[in-house]
Amino acid sequence: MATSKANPESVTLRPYNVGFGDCFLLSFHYPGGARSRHILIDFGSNRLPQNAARNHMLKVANTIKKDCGGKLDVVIATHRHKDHISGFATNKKGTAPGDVIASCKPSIVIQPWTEDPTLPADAVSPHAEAHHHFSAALSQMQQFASAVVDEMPRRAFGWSTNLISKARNNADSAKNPSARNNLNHMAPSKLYVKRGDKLDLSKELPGVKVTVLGPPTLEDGTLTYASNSKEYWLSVRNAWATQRYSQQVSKLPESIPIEARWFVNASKRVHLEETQQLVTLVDSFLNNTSVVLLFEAAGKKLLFPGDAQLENWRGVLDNEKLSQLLSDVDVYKVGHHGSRNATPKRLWEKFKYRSKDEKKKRLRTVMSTMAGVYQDTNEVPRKTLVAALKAESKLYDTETIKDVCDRDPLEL
Amino acid sequence: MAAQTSSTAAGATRAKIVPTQELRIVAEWLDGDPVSADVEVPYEQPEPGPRGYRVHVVDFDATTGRWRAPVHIPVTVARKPDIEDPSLHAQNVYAIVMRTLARFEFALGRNVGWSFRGGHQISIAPHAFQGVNAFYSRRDRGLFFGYTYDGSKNLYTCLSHDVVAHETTHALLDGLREGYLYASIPEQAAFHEGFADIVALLSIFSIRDVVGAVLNRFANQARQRGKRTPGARPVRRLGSRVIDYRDFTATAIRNSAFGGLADGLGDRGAALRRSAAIPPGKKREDREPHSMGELLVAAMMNTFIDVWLKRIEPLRVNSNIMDADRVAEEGATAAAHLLTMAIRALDYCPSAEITFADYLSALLTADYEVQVDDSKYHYRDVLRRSFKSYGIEANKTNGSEENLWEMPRLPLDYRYTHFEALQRDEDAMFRFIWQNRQGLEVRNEAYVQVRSLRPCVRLSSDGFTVRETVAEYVEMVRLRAEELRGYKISKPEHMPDNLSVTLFGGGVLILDEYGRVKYHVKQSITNVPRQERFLKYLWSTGAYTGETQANKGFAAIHRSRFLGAPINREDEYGYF
Repeated sequence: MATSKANPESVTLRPYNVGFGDCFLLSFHYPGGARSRHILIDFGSNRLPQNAARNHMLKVANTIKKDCGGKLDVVIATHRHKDHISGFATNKKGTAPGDVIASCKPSIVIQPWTEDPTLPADAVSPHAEAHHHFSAALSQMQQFASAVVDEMPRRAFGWSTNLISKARNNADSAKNPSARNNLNHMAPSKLYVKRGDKLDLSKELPGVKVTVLGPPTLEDGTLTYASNSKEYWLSVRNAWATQRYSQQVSKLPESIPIEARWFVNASKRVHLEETQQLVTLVDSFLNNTSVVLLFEAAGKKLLFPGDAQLENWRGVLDNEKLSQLLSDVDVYKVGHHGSRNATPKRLWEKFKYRSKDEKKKRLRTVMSTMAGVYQDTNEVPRKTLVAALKAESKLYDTETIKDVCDRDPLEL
Repeated sequence: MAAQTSSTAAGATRAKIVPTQELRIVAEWLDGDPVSADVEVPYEQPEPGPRGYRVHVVDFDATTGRWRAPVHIPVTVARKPDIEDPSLHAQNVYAIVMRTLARFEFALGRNVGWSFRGGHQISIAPHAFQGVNAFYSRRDRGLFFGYTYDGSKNLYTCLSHDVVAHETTHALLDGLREGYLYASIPEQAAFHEGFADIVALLSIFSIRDVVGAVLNRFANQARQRGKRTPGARPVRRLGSRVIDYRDFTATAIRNSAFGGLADGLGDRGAALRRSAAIPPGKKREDREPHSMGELLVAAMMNTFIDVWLKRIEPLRVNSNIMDADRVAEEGATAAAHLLTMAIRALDYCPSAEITFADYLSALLTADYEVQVDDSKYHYRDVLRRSFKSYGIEANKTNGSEENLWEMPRLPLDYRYTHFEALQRDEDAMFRFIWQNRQGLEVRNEAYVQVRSLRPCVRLSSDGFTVRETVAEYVEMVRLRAEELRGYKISKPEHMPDNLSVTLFGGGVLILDEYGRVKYHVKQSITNVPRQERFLKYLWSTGAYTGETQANKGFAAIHRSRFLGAPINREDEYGYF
């Protein structure tokens, strides 16, 4: 890239330790003492680090404020999961972490198209109505997850720690609406993006090229839902609106007939499985709304995919032109905290700077995670993935960070 | 009552056997209102539940933990039923399941079991949980029907004839072809879904009261749109309701008559309406199971419309005005006949990896066997045409008629086996297969097992009964991926050499009344394109790494249909 006064000469990245969640400050530095530009990518946690203080997230927010010199240029909330946005929540006194971030006066907030409160105002698109229903269905799904979480103290039987964490992360708890409201109002300019959008951020981030690789829209057809018609999504939305998870109203009588007891137990098991599958489904739905951004500046390519899962990636990997963009990525933010479903091998093999040779130009990977929240067979981070990351890239793992941030930013 | 005693002149008593009893059910929902009907089900005196010889209704709600006491049937139900009455729900599922079972037994000419090892009584939870889903679970030997609340009223899936018949069909099909539930090509899952919808729709249309209600709706709409049909009002001159033949077109039936079906169930009915109303010429490249299944449904429903229209032609006497009751009757008859054909075809279906083309061959062959002369309503021609118009290619065969299954190519050795034993003794059948392994193209190295052996009786067109025996056997070869080369099968890209994979094959033998094999529906282990397609699909969807959704059962399949879950697509070869 040709250098000019307007172009950044270096890039740094500060990963913050939020426990299980994502929070990154990406900074572009310009020659001649020009003001650096700062992008906050996600700020949320589903589980704080061990021994963290109660006000840990407030400490993170204040550190961000200090690190960006009190001014954020862009805030990106990749998707609405708690572990990506809970830190944006505000309180009445104006002292919550989200208030601190808002006080950094971001110029633009970027979110996925599903967060656009004005859907379906875009009447030009024939899919506007389907998108509106899809977005409404997401809210219904979160309400279902909330109902499950509310009942959890009374019916935890059969719920693994993984699934409990998952349910909590998807629940539309008190904090999430506040965070989403803050995100929709903290900046003068709001962008709700989808794959293929052309972003003009030349004012906020001079000399930085930003490509939107995700999320896809329904008409992309890569999300592999049964249909993209508005009728279909209206029916899905309605179906979710009727999903209930009521409290147990009555105790089973002592005297269930002997011949029915086996099936009563089978029914309980079936219902438990059905509920858990629904929670997992909600989780995938929301992960796949993740904004996937590719930044190019100072001769570097940086890929930030949020929690995009296979369905979100597919449209990029199947598209020759888009997938070509990935081959010379220098920095990869490991998707979905290092879980199995967000870094398909096909994606990994695209990166040509993977190398076992530490002396060569080598891919850098950054993983924000916390072991032990998701365990056993679907453990996060995935051991086999971590092994590949360590073998073929220079891995930065937020688990090695003490407190909020105990080291200098990464020079990329 | 079934066994009534009656006095004879001599004073002795003799039992009078009544084979069926009438129960009132909610047969359909039209424009949000329930349509009740009295249907005949096999007679029995069940225990409270009802708990009969094939069905056990257990009213336990796992979401709320609510248990309802067993119900005594028959339950008295008003013409306009109280849809909140839980005892109606119990009677409804009992009656529809028993009726569907009876339809299968009637078509196949024998008792039909629930599933391979599933026991005799299926358990049914009419209010299983809160949620729009409903499904059959082989593991739990049961049918589970969810219920929801849409903000103004409760929606019970157990009150939908479509849903109950659909789930019952899954259970019965599973009993007949166990292999269709194993992970395989998407067309197989599509067949399970499509066939269940076909049975659900045709069994509704075989109820005269329902066809009558559908026609009422049709007539009213036609009148509102200024068509010639004078509406549902009785026309005095004719003494009954009438329909104008010119209004009653295939498109009108598709749009208007099917349009209101299953309406009253929230959106569970939408998918069914959509598939029934797809016009011919619609082809989909999509390999998604539901879209594919919908085409199969559309092809059958289009056949139904065609035959129905043919059957009512003679009802026009000197004018285009037809008696609506007679039109309804012909519709019900056509639906019942097609339903019998659709079910009878199952005996002629392959043991695994069924395609729509296979099903069409099975349909045509099964019908040919009982009705060689098809000149009256041309059911078989209409089927061929209809399937073709939805882009379903037929098998190219050298059977007695186009697309029919073929006779075995090589002569078979019938020595050392006995007809009597071949009809019911699986070991005897195995001996027959083994001694004819060359003629039946069974691989020497394969593990071979007779999966089912079923004698059946059908009524032939000449009025005589025809005995047939249907034997289903499977072949399995387990090997390392690198050994696929020996079969000239290319292993999928990136599949490790030492991965253990299984090749499946097998066949269905139809024995005639002399015990001779008249059809052999073969799936050869060495069919390279078939095996490559199978392996590639399973590998790409993660079946060998435990990631597949392909065999997670109907709960998952139905979830994707109603709750928008992503479905399996051919794609990745793996994750870390």
